[in-house]
Amino acid sequence: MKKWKMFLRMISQALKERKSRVAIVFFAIVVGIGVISALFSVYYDINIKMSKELRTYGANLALKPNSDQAQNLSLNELERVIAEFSQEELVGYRPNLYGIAEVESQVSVFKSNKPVVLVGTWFDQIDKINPYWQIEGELSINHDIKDEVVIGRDVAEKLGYDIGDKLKLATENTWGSEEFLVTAIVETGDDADNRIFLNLGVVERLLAKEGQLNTAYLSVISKGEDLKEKAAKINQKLSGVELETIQKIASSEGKVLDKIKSLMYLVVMVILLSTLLCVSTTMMTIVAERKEEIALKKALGAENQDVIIEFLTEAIILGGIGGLVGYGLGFVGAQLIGKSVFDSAISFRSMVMTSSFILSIVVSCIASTLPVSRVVDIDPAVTLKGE
Amino acid sequence: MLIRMLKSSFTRGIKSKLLAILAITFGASLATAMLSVSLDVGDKMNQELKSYGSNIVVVPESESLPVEIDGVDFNAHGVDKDYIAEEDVAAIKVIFWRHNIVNLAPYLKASARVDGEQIPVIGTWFDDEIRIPTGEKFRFGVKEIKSWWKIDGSWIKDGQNKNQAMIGEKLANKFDLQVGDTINLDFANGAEIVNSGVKVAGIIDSGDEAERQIYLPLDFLQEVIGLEDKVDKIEVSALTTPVNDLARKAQADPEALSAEEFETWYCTAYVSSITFQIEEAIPGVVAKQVRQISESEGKVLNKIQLLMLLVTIAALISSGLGISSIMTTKVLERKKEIGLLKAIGASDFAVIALFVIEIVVVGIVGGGLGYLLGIGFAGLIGQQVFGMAIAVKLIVMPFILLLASVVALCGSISPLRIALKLEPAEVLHG
Repeated sequence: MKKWKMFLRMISQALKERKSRVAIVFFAIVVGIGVISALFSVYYDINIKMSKELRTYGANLALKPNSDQAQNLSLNELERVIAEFSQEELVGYRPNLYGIAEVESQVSVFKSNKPVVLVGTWFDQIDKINPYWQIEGELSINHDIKDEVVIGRDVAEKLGYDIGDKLKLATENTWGSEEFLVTAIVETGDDADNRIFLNLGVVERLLAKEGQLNTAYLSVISKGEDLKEKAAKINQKLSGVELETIQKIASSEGKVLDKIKSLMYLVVMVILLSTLLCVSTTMMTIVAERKEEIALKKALGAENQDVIIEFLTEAIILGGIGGLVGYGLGFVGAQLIGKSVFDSAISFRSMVMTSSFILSIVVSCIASTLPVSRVVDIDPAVTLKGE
Repeated sequence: MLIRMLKSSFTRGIKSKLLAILAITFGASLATAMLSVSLDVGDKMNQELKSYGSNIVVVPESESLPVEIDGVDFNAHGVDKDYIAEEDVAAIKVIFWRHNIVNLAPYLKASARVDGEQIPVIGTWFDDEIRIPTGEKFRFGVKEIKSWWKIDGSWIKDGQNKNQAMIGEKLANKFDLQVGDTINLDFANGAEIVNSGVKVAGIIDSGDEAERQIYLPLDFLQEVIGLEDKVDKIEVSALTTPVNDLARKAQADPEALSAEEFETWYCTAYVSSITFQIEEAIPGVVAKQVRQISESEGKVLNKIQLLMLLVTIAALISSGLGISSIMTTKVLERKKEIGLLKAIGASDFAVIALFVIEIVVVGIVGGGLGYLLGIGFAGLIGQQVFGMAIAVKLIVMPFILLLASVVALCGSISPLRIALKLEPAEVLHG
């Protein structure tokens, strides 16, 4: 009992008396573990975070009828597929119904009608499925608006329409032409530039295709590889329609995610290694400094084992507290990175906390026992001769 | 005398300095590796993002609107189509930003009758060696641009064997075709019908409309439909700089820029300046940026660069503190020596001068070693992740040497001050 008390006193004295040294070691551990745990927290979140960022490329799944027959897809089927995805996974989905309409050209002197591809869709989904579209004007978010039209850049230029103009269009199923107000022009660099867009309900009526769709595009957070499997699983429950992965986006996404993940992994490893070496060299110097103290203890009758246990306890206390404080600091640092890069919080993982705590203790133990075991066999008389 | 003291401190005291040099080496190597990776990650990731396909598409200037749904043409009355001359295609590789043009592929679209059904047919370069006007040769074609195509069979190379085709998976299933089978195509050449049998070299699994199309060597298609030297679309894959305010202003209206702004814009690899230069190089075309690729690319690149920047800052903090903490302990260790120096009459200034020189030497030696080790780390990261070395920027070296010595000095200031304040008698009493 008495021995135990003495041991505690020695440890607390050692920490109290050598304030500046203890502070340096503590500081080194806190910063080292802080940086390491911050980076690990970010690393474990990088897949999901970057996967979300890559949704800026737009849809990665398409729902289509699985044969070339004119058979169409229904909204109900789309809803059934949507139900397979969780809220967090699904960024958005946009149904499309295509048709051909005749639009009057305003450019030529002789007014003539030109065929244009007509698309019925939901405008509120455009910033989720096609976030890269450049939109001039206002999209009508409300699905019930019946008299507004959005046109592609080329349609606007080649047929001579601008925002605020009235556009007349006719289809095979309408008597004469109907008038719509141009509310927005989209520029995309792909097919959409040559098309005109109306609310889905309006196009259903114009083409007499109530409740029908040609395709629907889905943007789903994939976290890497599992998208194709997931699509295959859903396809087993469907008939007549097929959920296809848009490989251009999905396969590139997998490749890019892999690159980013392995880049972060190596970077974190290099930082881990260098930081640990830095921290341990600092600790080693500080322990090596205490040669005289060790010699004195031995002169007073301490066994090698006692000395090592004392130093180990010190190291565990320093490493443990340093590890916890460092983790706290690192978690804050991770949030800073998450906020500024991904605009969202990095999730808490108890695994990172435990491992940085253990890492901290292990490193400080190794760093302090290495030099101690080297000097523990010294002859007290030689070392203390000057005192 | 100073030199002699320094000399002996480095010869006799070298053992105690080794740890400090070692710590500085680790710290500096970390800083070097992270700076090199961070400076190069934009270029490297940019190349990786090329797997999303082309970011620029070039089409002939035309009055008419294409009426296409899923690659099928619905334009009833065969409108007069406009074309680009095939010989102009290579001109894209001689624009100002030619080195940023990674790949390109021209397309010519037609249709052919197979078993009484109209099928879209596309002529293109698959993996062709192309000689550009400067005499250099490059390999261009859809093989690299459509990196997501999975091919059963093989790619057509150089379009040599003309009677070969690559067909979409959906078509292959429909007509029950295997690799090596022959398919009969009827082309309309003016009023004449040309029948031609082609061998299926590969079947395309692409997850897009290419699965319902037939791809033929460009020369072959041009010949059978009588449109020699004509193409109707070019896809270009270019390395670009993420868009900023200047690029947005230029895109809205290049005329609105001042002469100086125009020059900056023209000489930066924005996607808008590259499209502008393509339009300059080939008369009668419109070069458009494919916003799905170009916009997203910019956003993703900015994210990755920001992420790496923050990680680098974390690494710099960690290495800076590592270096300064080891220096603090090292100087504290030498309290006695400072006391002795002062006892035999050294002025504070002389002590400081001696220590500063020593620390700077240690900093530079450690920094230099760390730089070399760091390049190794960076190379390892580059090889592992991107399969090629990270470009080593020379600017990193002086920065690292400066960082190592300045941080080492900073770490030594406070212990040096403490040591100088102490009375020699107090330190040396033992």
